[in-house]
Amino acid sequence: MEICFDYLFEPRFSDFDSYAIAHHSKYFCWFEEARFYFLRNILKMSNEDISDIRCPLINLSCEFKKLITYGEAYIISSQIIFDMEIAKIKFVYQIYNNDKTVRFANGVTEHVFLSSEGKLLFKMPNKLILRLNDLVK
Amino acid sequence: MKNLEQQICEMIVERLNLEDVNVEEIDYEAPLFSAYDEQGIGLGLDSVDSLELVVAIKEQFSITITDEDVSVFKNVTTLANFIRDKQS
Repeated sequence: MEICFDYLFEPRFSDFDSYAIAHHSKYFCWFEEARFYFLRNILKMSNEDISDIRCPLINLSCEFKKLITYGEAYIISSQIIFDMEIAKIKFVYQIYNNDKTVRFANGVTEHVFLSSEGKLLFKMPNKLILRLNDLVK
Repeated sequence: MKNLEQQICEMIVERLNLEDVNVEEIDYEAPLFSAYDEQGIGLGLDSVDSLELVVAIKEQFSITITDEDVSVFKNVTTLANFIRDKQS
């Protein structure tokens, strides 16, 4: 199953290095912002619900295509790929300019789910399954 | 007819795309995961691979493995015994 959404963001001055280039590590922070935007604004999860779901990264990558510059807004066009049968979720990100005519980066993160004791879960948390099901419907 | 252990080995190799592993050479008692594999034996899988195997076992044997059953992934024999128990 797939869910798509867009997240609009504007890099902060502190995201740039002395060459006025967005530091590579910031792309992963923006991807994270997009994920939290998805949980809060699309799945409508409360902070309490979010903190109950432990989903660490098992894979992340980014292809840097064009330089991101200060003073512009960008869109992270995101795709969430999941299967209710497997406790793993994949986010695919594409960073575009504001009118989606230029692509600046491609990224991927994959996540698994842990119990509150830190053990790997074989099934997605029920809270998340319910929300995803509602959204897919 | 293939025994259950052979079927499990084939399932593991196919599901996890273990191209370098010969199904016939898998030791049923060897540990599946790296954590158990201090002497360099076994398949060297990791816990994330177990997620794929949970799905594969459900598809192939119609058996659900829960978070409480994690110990069945010790080796091929423990997996086979678990499946036999559930099927009986």
